Amino acid sequence: MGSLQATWTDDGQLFFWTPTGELDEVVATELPTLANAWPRPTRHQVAWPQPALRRRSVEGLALPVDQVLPLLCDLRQHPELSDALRCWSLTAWLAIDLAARQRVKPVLEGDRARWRALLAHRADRGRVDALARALPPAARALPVESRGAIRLWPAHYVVRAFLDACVDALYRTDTHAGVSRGWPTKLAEALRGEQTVFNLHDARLHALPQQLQEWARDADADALTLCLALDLPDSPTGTFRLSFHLHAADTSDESVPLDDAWYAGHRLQLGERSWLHPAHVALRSLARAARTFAPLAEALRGPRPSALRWDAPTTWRFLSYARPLLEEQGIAVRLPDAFSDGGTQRIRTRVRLSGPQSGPLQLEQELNFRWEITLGGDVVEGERLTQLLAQREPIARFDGQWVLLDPSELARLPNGLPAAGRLPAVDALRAALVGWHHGAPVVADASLERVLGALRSPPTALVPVAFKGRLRPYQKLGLSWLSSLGSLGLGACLADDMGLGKTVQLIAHILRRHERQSQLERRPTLIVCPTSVLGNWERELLRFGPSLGVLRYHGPERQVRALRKADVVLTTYSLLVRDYQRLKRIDWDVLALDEAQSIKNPDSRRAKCARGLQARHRVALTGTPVENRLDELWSLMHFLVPGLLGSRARFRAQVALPIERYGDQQVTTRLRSGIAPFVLRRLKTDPDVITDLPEKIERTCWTPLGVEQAQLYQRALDERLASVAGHTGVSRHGHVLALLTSLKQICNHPSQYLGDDGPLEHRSGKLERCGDLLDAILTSGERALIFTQYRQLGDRLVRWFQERYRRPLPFLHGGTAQTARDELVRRFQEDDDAPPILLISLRAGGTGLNLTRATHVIHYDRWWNPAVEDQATDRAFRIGQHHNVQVHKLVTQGTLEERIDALLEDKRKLAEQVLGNGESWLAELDDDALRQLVELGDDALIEEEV
Amino acid sequence: MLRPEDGLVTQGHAPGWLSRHWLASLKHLEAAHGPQVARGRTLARAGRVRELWTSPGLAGAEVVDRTPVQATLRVHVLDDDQWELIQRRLLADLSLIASLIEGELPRTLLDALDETGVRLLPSWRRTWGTERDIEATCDCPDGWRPPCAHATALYAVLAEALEGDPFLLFTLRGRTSDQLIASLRTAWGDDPTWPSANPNEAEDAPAGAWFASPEPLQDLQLSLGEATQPAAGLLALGPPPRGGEDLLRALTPLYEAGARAALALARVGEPEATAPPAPPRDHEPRSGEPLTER
Repeated sequence: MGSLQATWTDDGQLFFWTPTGELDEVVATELPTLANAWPRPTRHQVAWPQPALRRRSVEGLALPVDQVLPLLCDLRQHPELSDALRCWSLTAWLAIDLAARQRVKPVLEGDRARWRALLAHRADRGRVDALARALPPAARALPVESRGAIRLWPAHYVVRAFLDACVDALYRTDTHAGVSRGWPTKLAEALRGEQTVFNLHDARLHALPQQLQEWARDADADALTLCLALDLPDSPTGTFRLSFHLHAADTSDESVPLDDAWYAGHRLQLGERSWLHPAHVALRSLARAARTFAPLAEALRGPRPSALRWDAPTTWRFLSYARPLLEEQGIAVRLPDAFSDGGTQRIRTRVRLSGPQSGPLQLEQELNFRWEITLGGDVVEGERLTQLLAQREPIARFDGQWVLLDPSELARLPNGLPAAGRLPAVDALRAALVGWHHGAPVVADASLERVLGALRSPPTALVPVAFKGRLRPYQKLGLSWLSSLGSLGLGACLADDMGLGKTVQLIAHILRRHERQSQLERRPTLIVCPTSVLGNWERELLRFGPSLGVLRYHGPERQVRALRKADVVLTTYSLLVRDYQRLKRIDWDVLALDEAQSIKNPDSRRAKCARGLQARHRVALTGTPVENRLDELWSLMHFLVPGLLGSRARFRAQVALPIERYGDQQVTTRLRSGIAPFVLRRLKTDPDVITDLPEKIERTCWTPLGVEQAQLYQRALDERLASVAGHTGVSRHGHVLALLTSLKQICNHPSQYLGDDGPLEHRSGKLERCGDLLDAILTSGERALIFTQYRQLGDRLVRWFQERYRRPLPFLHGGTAQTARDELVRRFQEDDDAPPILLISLRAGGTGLNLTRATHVIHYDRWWNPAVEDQATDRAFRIGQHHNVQVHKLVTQGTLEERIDALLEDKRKLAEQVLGNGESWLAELDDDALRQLVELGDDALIEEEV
Repeated sequence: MLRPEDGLVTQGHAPGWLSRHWLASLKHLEAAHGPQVARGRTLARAGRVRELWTSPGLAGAEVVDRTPVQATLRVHVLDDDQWELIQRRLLADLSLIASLIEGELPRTLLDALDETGVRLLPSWRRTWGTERDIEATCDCPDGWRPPCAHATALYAVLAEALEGDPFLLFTLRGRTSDQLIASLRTAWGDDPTWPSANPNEAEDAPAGAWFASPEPLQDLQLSLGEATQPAAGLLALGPPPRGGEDLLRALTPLYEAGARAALALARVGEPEATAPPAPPRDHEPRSGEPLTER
């Protein structure tokens, strides 16, 4: 797609072609929907720059604008577009925007009537400029014979021609005109359908084309604009003064009184710019304004108008009726400060929202609200209110001054009176966050302010004493934030990047709540997570929150009665659904969903069950950026803060669609401010975070065994332990190592142990976990290294990777030739298209490889000698010098791997002296120690619930 | 008599004061040229006049009688002193030019100028020394003493043209609207020789990458929404050309339908978006900013 070009032709078509000529292929692969609808290819001349600018005939497909518009709209989200197509796609969206806002005008060209785009606003002109500057020459490569050479139309002209053609296509809707006689009808006829001819053979319409052009000229030009400035009277009985000024249409900063225009001569200077014929411009503007609002015609009586005086009723008619019309035409109206939006002499209506009278905010409850009328910042009530509402004139004397009593403000009040009422707390919260309610601005009372304040900057929460570990500063912030939302009863979505420690933050949060709750208040916490990380959670909870009683609620032996007694209950999503009725009977303290994207479908059973449980605080943990997937976001927020984002249908239509389809800025901003207090996401690359992170973040990924693995493991144990016991000395040594090696292989993958070529998926817990990690790493576009000791496992990983991701996995092992090795490394480091994952099976001592582009390292299996391990990963491969690196160690829980890992942790300091260079230290263990080491724990196998 | 396809239509409008005055002058001809006037009127009403053109002091057209003939009217142009008077009158009261710009010839202007001796409306009867106010020529073989029926047909059609374009009267008297405005500008101290706009010209092909964007463009930051008022587009254009009051009503449904079509295209792929009205767009200007800006 990157090569498909589109050039604008003079007869209103977009001509699609490729410089290299394989048009059919490109269209068939990249635009299959259109392949059937394409017309026959034609040949067109395009300007071609080599060797010198000349004409070249190319084959391509020309489509009229009305057929091309829907295609261009869809293309906006296409990842690879040629610059020309990107520009045309954006231009198409601008055309739609202009058409939707009715920024179009009818013109007559000869006897043809057409719609043209109207660029009245500075923003629109800016957009056209930006498009013109971005348009590649190829997009306007229509050769034009001019002054004896081949030239091109200017970019600005071409962009405008395209916009004009688009709005013309959109506005020919075959709608019937509003009147049925006279030339306006005939003009409308020529504008509404295929027929464009407007028969001008009416003598009275001789000058119509010119007049139509004049009609739209001021609205369209890069103009000098009239500005009418209103001043309050000097005295209670005085008149309002309206003075005339001129300023540049795109900035109100500098304006000059109209007098300057009358005496300016041919040119008026404003700041750094100047305009020609200012008096004519002023006159035209005034004449037009006078037609809109007759009292302005008085001003034209004199030769050089500069101001007018009006009484209050006329002034009000001017402000209410004429002002919006004039502003639509581009004539600005400046109010006196006292009458402006923040003015002190103007009434405003607003809604005052009250927070909960006591205790935390509960979303199901109702909160009070009250409408208020303010004048000069004070609420008008009592006697003053009665007097105010009794006023008849919108501009009147009140309290000794002139005030503006805008009826449209008063109209917002239900029944015209500032009443009070109640509304659901979630609506109040949303209104307070967004700042608007029923068209009026919102103020919050002290109680609600407290809630909002706590949302904006959560008070610092101290790390609970029972937390065993250290939180980094950004994690302390996460804890404070979780705490604050928890005490407010509002759901929280912790969406930190992978590796930043969402688990520990949640554990700290649970501990803190425990700390601050009395025995009576304590309730169990439920953590729902994918099966593959159950073991992980158990171990993390044990490590950081050993005081918590953890119940693994899983497996056929699970204890329902133990639910209430536990501090933390761990379960899986499938059990959430299976045992929903049992889980529902408990009032949970915290309900946390790990990998919360599991409930991204709000109609799924797991989502419904999650929402159905009772909990004081709902927390969602996820590593994916929620903002990008709006459906997911809605489901998550519906779980966390039900009602915040409104109904699903409304959200789809009013929020998701505008953002996804054309990146609506206002809607995006409103959505962000609505959910900002409830989503916390930090990235590894955030400046606040990056200084806190060590170069190397190591974590252990506990993985379970698969059923087959567990069987093999137990059998190997039974067989070989026995034979070990029967030997001594060197032969024992050999048998121990053989045992350990077998078990290691089983933990890796049954296929490695058995030596078979069978299927690889779903047979090894480690492989599943590795797959999850790689999924996340690949999605985030990062690069990773996988280390394994075993060549045979490496080969299987390559096969598995190819099947799963349909991409190659380069494998660097002992048998790789030096040149191939160098090439693999070079590609990994430098080539953007190279596979982002590199598998390595090398013992230490290899020549230093530079693999600094990796930000993740996965140790699939490990050397049981820390010195060797460190040497292999860090020094030999110089990791961690350029970015932070996350190291994931896959350790099978309940097996020898776990226990050896624990041993190594203890002995790390003594490693070098005690353990020497190899793994033979293991063979020194006596029988009992060995058995303890290799026993299969009962948490090794976590069955998948179907 | 068959009407040519592009013959000018002169019926279907209520005659304004200007065309009535203009046509009234024909009665001065009826005494001596009764049959020509009558036939001229008939030809005009039947749409036999086509390709009307005007220039300072001149008007012409093709009249399709039994054969097509070219008729011309030459109007006496005013001299510089008289133009000076006109200009001064226009400058004294800007509402007069304002009216002209907005498509109406104010009667008060004619009356005021009459008082000073400047007669804008030409007359068949009047002469300026030896020169007639209106002189007719035609290449018809009829052999009538001018004005022939074709010239009077042209004259009748001009009545309608004048109703539609008030500046036409000034053109016939010697100055186009551009020239008129230019001379007014001079009075304001403006220099009329400055050009207003540049026409589009093809330019040289740029150097540099042919297929790449000269300047990168990420996004346009659009916020698609509906217009704030039902016919916002029409309002933005201001009052329509005179005689086109119906134009607003005729075009309003087209504007609304066009906007809907655009929004529908924007929302393609979405099931019935029976969405309630969107929340207020943030068009409320922040306090302290006196000028509203969208």
